Amino acid sequence: MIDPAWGPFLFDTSAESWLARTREPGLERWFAEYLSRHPVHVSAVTVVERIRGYALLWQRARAGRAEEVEAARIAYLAGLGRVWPLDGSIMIVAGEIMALLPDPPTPPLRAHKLVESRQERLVRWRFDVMIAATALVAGMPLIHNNPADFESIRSAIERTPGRFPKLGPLQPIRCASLA
Amino acid sequence: MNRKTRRATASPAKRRTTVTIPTDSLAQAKRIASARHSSLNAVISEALSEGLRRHAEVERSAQVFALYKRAFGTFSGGELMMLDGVILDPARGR
Repeated sequence: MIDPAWGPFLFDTSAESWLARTREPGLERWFAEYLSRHPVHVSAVTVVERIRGYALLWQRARAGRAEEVEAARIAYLAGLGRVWPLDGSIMIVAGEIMALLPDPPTPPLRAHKLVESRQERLVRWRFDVMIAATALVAGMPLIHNNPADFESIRSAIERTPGRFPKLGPLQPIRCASLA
Repeated sequence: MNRKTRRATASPAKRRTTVTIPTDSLAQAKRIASARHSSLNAVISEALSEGLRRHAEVERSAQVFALYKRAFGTFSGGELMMLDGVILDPARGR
């Protein structure tokens, strides 16, 4: 159990949407309590991923559905909390992590007859690295739903502390363990 | 600067009013005021401000939660993956 008062926390892209949709009462209460105390902190990278997602859904939607997608996008932007920009310090740390872990730790995702391209997987991995670097520089725990990626990053940083002076450790916290 | 403006910048505007509060709350406020060597007025004002601040926070939480539900609530699993940055396309050569 993580006390919401210990925040603020940085939320990974999928963690933010997962918490917004969870029907588990304990987690719903946790998120409501968190929101009463702190804004949701996200990296600018999360905004890129999210807005690209809404734009692609809008492009592929039929007429009536496109309006619903646009309404959802506007609601997202209206509720947007604190957005951390990608500044010099964050990009230095991200570069160090990318050099340590050039390839994604897991293969591209598949679902039914759909597949994530290698290029898309690499982009998503690098986005995750930038989000982890943001959490590290901001000194905030990272709420996530993606243990494969973030545990790899945490472990790489722990093995090479000399490359990350005065930073760390990365503190990843899984969504499911919040409440 | 006229007198009215000077008063406004010195401290928040105040107004006398009458409220009815539970006797046990009043007794507790008096005890706190006595322990702090402060006035009953200061203790009640502080408690009221804190309560109103907390109320505003809860209201903001409900507003943001509702916005999140609208932002993510109407999408299928596949669409949600796209919103989370996972772009899947039909597999080729199958």
